[in-house]
Amino acid sequence: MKYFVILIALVSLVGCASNKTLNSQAISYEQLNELGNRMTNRDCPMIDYYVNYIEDQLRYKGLYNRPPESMDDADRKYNAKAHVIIWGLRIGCANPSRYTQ
Amino acid sequence: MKLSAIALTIAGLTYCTTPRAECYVKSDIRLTRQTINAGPTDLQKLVTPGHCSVQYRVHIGDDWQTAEGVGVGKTEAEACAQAMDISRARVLLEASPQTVSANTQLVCNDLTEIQVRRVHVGETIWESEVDMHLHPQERKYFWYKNTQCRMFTERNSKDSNLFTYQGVICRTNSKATSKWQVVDKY
Repeated sequence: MKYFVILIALVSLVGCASNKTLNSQAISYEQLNELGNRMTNRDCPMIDYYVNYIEDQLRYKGLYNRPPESMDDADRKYNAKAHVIIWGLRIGCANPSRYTQ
Repeated sequence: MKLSAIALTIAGLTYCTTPRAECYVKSDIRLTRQTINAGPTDLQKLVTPGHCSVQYRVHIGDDWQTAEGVGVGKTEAEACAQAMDISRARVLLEASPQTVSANTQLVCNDLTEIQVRRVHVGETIWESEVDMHLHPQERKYFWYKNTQCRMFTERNSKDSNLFTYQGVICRTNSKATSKWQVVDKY
């Protein structure tokens, strides 16, 4: 039974990973915004997963590690939203009292 | 009856002799002191025999200001303490309510003049080369990967459009006098 549960978990993880690599279409700004609005400190244990996921969206759009000065308005807005979410997670999870004091 | 009459007489006398409050107009003028938001930071020190020049940056109101002081003393510690006192007094003058004034100074020293400028990811900079974040809530330092960091904003104009970028800088080492690295800008 124990091994079965582990097997299911592994299959699920592989499934998630393969979906991520196959789907190279970035999510829309609205979806990104909604994702950001849903983030709370309960997501901190999954921070690496979310940061990677959002960075992947930037990669799909060709925005990863690009200076914002080189972007048009729509890309700059998308890029800024992605970074705000990423830093919101990084800061909020590592400094829990920052936004409550 | 006799006692009541005495009591009434005493009460009446007390009323007449008690000074009563008078009304008057009170003016209350308040001067607003500018807020020191951050600093001192980016301390630079130049020591020559008997002299010490210090320069550091303080964020007052909406801008970074440079505080400078030159001290004289028999020892380095004495000269630098005096220089810090002088610079501190200048900062307080800057933050205090003042009448409008203008002056021009010729300042000569070998310390680096720091100004807010456009920065790029990966650059090592002085903390006050980037502006404080527009939102006071985001001005506080935070920790990221065991390093002290803070957010900044950068205002640039391109083709007559004004752009405001945000970013993150982190200390390059744990010393209080360390420089900072631009970790992200977006």
